[in-house]
Amino acid sequence: MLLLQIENPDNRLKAERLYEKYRYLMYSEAYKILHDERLAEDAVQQSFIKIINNLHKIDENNCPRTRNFMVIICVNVAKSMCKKRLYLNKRDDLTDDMDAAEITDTGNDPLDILVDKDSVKQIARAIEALNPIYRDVLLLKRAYGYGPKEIAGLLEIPEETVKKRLARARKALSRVLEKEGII
Amino acid sequence: MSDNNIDNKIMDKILDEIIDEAASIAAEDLGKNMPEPETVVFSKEHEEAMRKLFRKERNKLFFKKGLKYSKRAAVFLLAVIVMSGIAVSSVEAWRVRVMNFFIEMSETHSDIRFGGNSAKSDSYTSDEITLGYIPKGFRLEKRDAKGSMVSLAFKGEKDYFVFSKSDITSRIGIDTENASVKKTKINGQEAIYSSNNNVHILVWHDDEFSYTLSGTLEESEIVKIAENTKK
Repeated sequence: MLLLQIENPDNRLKAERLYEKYRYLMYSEAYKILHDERLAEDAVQQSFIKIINNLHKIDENNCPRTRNFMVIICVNVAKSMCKKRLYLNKRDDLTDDMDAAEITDTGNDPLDILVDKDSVKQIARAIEALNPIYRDVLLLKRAYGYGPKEIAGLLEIPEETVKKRLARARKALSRVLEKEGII
Repeated sequence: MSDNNIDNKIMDKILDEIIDEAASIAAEDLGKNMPEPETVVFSKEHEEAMRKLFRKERNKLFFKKGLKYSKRAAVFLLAVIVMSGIAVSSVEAWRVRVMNFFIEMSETHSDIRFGGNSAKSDSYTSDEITLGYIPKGFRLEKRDAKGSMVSLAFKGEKDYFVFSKSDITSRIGIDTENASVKKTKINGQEAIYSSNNNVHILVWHDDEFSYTLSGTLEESEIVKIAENTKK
């Protein structure tokens, strides 16, 4: 039986192009966490195993966004490696609990919302200032369009944890916005 | 539902939309504000591991595409066999059945055109290709084009053959398991001829394109069609 196999050179090269473009940045961010050259290289490799499975959502033409995405993945892989090697203390988990305790519900009135360009920019600043644990999942969902299951795979955390972090990120953001007087 | 609940839902929806917009800005800003990294000399082991990773990915992609095409070829053959076994009152009725089938099967393709009455002669000419020789009684049943790739399916009374042209940079693989394979030449260019269970495949190329001819025709007929192919 005929088996015709045709490969599109553009698709084939996307992962390699991303690697060429962002390998130094990813390595440098991983090294900041791992303080070891070989481990930082491993983090880059492991990141690409994840990235290759999610190539369809990566926009090569938008450099800053893609740059941020690659770093989010690599940094989380590096952190995960740290945890596995018992280099990392329980800071992340403690932060989860501390923030959960601090977050309170806000009684928002929709009429108080003032949506203009400045407000959106202020919210963007608030997102940037969030704890990276929450910021990463929030950005992966809201800016990059990944679902909780996909985020769980990318960050090597359970799906339930992703959902928990998303909910907490949303609440933490509401609280910050309220403090800033945006809502 | 109370007014307060509705208000909260509206507020949440508005806030969600603002957060989506703000998240995109934040992602962009965070990317922009990252310091430029220094150039690093990676270890040979790392570079080799990355090469392996990309090679593996290329192979996966290769087989995925191969599976897609082989499924389509299998469906095509099955359909021809099934339809050949159905007693229909006229040749035209049979043609309509085939046409309808192709319309359904190929709806994912970017460009589909049917030969209709145009392929009754002993040659075929289009913008992309000229087949200077078509065996007597064969007619074009399907033309399928996507990018530089063109595929033409011809059907005779008992036999069929499919001609494909694709860019030389595309990779073409044929399943040679349990098949007899030999090297030959088409118009002075190297070619491979494979035969398995009454299905014969000829693959050859020129400077720009690679060509595949497969079907149930005799080898001499397949070679004759190939030798009379012009861009």
